[in-house]
Amino acid sequence: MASGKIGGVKSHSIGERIGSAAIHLIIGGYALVCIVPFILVLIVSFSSEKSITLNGYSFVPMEWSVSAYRMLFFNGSSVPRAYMVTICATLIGTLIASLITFGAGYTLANRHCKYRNGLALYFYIPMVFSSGLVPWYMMSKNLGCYDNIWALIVPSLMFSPFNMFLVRNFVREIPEELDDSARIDGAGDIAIAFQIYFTLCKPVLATIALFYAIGYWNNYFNAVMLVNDPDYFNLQMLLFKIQSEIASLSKMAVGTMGAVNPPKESFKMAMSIVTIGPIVLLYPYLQKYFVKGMVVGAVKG
Amino acid sequence: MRTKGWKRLLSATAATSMAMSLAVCGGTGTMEAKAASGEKHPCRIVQPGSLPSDYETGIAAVNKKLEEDGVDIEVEVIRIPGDAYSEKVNLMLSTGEPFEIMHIMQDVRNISSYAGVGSIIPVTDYIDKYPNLKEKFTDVEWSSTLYDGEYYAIPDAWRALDHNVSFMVYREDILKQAGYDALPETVDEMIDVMKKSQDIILEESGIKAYHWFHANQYPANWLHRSYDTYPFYVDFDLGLTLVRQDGTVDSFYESEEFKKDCETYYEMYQAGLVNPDVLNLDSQAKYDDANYGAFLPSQTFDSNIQNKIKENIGVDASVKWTRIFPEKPDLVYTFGQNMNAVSSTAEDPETAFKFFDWLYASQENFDLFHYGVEGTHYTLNDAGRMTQTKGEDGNPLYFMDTWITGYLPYQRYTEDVTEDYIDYDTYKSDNYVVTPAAGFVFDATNVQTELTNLEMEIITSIYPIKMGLVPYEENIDDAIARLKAAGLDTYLEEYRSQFAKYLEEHPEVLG
Repeated sequence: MASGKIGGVKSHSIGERIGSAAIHLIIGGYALVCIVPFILVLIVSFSSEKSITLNGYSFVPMEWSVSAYRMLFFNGSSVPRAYMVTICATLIGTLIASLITFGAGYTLANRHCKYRNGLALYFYIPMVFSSGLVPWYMMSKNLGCYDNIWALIVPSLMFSPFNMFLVRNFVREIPEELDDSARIDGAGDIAIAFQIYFTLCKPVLATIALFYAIGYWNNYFNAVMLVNDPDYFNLQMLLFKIQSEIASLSKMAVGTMGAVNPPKESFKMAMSIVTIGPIVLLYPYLQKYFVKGMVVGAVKG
Repeated sequence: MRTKGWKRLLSATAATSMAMSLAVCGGTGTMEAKAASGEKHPCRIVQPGSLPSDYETGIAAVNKKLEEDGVDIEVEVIRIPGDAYSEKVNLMLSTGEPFEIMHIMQDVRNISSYAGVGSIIPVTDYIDKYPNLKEKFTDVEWSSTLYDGEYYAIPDAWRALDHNVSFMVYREDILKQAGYDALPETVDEMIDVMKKSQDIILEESGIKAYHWFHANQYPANWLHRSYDTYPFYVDFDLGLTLVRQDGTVDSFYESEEFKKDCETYYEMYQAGLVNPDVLNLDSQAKYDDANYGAFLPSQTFDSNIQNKIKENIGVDASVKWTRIFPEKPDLVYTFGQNMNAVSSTAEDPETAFKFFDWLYASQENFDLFHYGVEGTHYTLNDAGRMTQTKGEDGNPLYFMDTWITGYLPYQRYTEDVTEDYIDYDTYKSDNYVVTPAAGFVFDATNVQTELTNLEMEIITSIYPIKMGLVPYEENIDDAIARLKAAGLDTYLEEYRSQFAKYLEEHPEVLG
């Protein structure tokens, strides 16, 4: 039976229904495959250590326990401080990065900017070729981004040419007549950029803000290389330390009396949950902008 | 005009904020300032690991004691996570970042790879200036820091190196239940012990116990001691070389000894004595099981495991460290596994010697730096055993790893360490041989590419055979072909060439 309208309501053929059901099944199955490990991690974080040792990872632990979370947030724990550092670095970094990226993208998209194509190449080349670790380290230290919060904000993260090109392409899609009419009305470049284009670029700004926020939240490399002061360790650095300590156990000679007790399984899972935390909630909030931002330029208006 | 004025104002504001933010960016610490004023020399010690939670209190006490003792240095310990240690130290050296002391782990990256590229400086001239420090270590221990005729580091004599391939750790209580009075002296009986022990432990705790390597890269030293061709030395790093007592260097993975290892482990794997996930599990998995008493005789595990078993399952386990095949000699495979070198970026290289001279001058200094303030960070009982003050995370509030800057005569044990373990740790062998490779430091600079390729290939092709997951006969030819393609022969040629030169320069090695 072909699809058609019956009483104003579109009806679907059996084939379409089967197809739709199959698609729902596949996507649902894939979603399940993605979410189930996360649920397992959450459950294991609330399992007792004995339960994990005896039964392994289980959806129904032998014994529930909040000892892992208690250990994470005990008085004197470094986790709350790391949380604060991570949130600060993410918020400040995302704000500044988005502003700079918008500024660069808008400029390169503006036909009044001479040599914009040459400038675009100037951004493109470093995107493809990296200078290497040593110059990066030297530059970061010389800029004073070492052993402080700026070490987690500026190096490598404050600007992404890829995001800048996203913004540029989006701005190009906006009719130039807007710019012309604003100039006729007496608006300058700054006013046009921030009062007109900035508000129109919400979808792409939300997209790049999400990319930057995730980049800042997940970054551990800057902390490992540029931060020695434990007061400036972020959450990912704490996770990295835990994994590193476990890996070091096997490298130590037999019977070494070490300082560190290997962190328990439930502790590791609780640490993972705590680390994911707010960033997971960011996705639904930015969802409505995300799709539009990603397909920018795909459809001509 | 109005627009231009606003533009200028915005630009000026942006420039000012940028300048202010750079000014606010943290500057360097106080150490350089103090040094510049001539007060004290900074002594920055770079080590792998994490700082203890009460580091500030502990190090303040150390610096106060240094001042009281008239040593004009101020100590700061910089810890780098183990996984990033080599990379970050390289960065610090490459960029000229000043620090005085760095730790070298010969089994991770040997001294030649630092000394050969000028990352560390020779210290020969300083040794005689500090006779007390010099006397603390034997000539053999000092010789482990030699490179190209110069001393390059201060030894880290935190353990005796004449016996740790000879010992096995096991549960004596389980052994007795299995019908044995002592560890067997044949491989077949050892496997029998393991099978019976596994059943007993399964009944006791419900956990299936396994036999473990200390790390997958380690050779099966316990098996090697049973072979007629023993003593010989297989390197702990990648297991590529087998050095015999006559100075011959063989390819271990192509040797009869490796074949025998694999056949034994295949039998053990088939009997369920080796964990099926052995290639993927991190080391914590075995410690977790061991803390519940679920382990078979192995050459690994902690010193306080007996108490953890009691805590977790309420069983009075008797954990022992015993020499296996005791009639065979012990093997000294290195004169020094860890050491502390002076960085090429040190502002004043002599501060390293001032620090170590002070550190090893007395038990009091050693205790202060490693264990913290007595009464705050630890207490001692009448026997000199330590009880450490722990934080809520279960770790000591202050503890500097003794494997990094240790000195065996001064090292303390906690109350929960058994006498048996202490006997093992302080055991002095009176029946040992020294492998010709003991004082040899291989410089892998010329075969770095091959080494990198071999590392990957060994994990992929050799470990499954080594651990007994797949049979030897059906897989070894393909594995060896892959190793050769990765540069095995080139690597061995370079090793043999350097080793031959070493033997020529040290004829006393072969006697």
